[in-house]
Amino acid sequence: MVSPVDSGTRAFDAPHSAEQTGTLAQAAQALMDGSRQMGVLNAERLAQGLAQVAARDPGHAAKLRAEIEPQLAGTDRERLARELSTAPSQQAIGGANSGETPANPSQTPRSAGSLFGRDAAMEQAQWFSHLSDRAWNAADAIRSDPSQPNSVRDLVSLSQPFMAVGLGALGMVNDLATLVKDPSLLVEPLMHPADTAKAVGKGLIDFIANPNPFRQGQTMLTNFADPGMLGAHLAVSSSRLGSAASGLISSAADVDKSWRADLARSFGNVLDGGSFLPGDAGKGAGLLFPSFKTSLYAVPPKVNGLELQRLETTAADIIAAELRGSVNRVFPGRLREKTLAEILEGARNGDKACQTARKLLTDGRFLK
Amino acid sequence: MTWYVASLLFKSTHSEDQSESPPYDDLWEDSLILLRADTADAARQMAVDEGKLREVAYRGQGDDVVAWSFERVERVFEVQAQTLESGTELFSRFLKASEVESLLTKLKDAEP
Repeated sequence: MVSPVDSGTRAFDAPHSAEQTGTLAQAAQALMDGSRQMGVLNAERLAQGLAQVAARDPGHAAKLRAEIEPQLAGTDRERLARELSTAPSQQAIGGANSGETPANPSQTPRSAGSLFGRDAAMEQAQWFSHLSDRAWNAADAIRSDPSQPNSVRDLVSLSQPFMAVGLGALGMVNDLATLVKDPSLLVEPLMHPADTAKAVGKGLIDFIANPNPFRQGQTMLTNFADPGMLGAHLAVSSSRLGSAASGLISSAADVDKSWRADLARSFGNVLDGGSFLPGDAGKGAGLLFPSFKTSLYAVPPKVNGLELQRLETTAADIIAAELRGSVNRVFPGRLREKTLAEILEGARNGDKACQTARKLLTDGRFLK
Repeated sequence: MTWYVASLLFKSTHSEDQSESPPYDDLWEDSLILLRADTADAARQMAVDEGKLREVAYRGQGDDVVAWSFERVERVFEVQAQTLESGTELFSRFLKASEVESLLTKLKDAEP
């Protein structure tokens, strides 16, 4: 079964080093190994890997293809030829089938059986992985971008549970559909235990490294039909729950500094409606789980030691609230309506006025 | 090569006549920069060059143009360590009581 958690791996990184140090056969094998997903060869990835090699060394790519093609099943060989026909470096990659492949496969009539079979199943699984990754990456990027309006970040944050459920359900449908298209995929992982173990390992690393709990939840839902992966995910989640529980106990004596207080404040803000309420009552919806110290937060509550709320405040507001009026006399006029985050960014990029503004806003001698 | 820390003094000036404003003192900035040089003299020259590079002017309130000009290198302090690490002393100076009092006082708004 194809797992979406493996979709972020770079299938053709490994062959590069192998090409430098190993023989042609080893490089070809590494390229094929790197193109497998849960033990199943992915012709598209293989074609991408060959195209990358061809971009650097066309002759070597042609030799690799000649080495690889005899090892492929008929359908995989046809699929590879089709993928290579669309690759930018296809002229240089060569291969036995290159002359038989249409210049533009989109002009080739789709065969009646193309909705089923391994290629169709793999294509569909890849399509879902791309969709899932792009959706979550976009959501995470917006949530962690302080320059986005609070209302937008809140909206994206609050939509995450629905995204998780929707994409999880779609993932289960995808799993079932791939099985319908090619039932042999069910036993494929068992036939390639080493590759399967490697893919599961990569999936687990991605899973552990991923800070977004809803994305993790979707991954679990998606892998409902994949007992091995589901079991591993449950184990990781259980260990996290244990860690969270110990955090709760250890924080009982110091509530003000504990994640429990942060969590309570977050939930309170979510219940308040975040930034959607008049008077900006509660900005926490955009910072769901802001200090859940078991790595479940997606937006850091502090950046370089500065409170996020202060980072999003304009210089004029900071001066009015915290600093003496004499600062206005030397403060750059064009930066008055910029947020502290924007000023810090400008200072880092070498803008001298921003550098002066940063010092004026952070020098304690100007405090009221 | 030795590490040095130079203290640079910058002064702000204004293009607009401030006579109608409260009598503010011109604001100065003491900026400490880290330098790597063979000798203290070389470090001082580097500090002068760096100070000139850091001069800046921009529009402040209304049409007022604020200019920060480099005035001088106040001093160059040799760091007594070859490698910088947590706890390394970067700068030191001795102060009179009145200077300490001044440094610890917040920059007040001038009375109109």
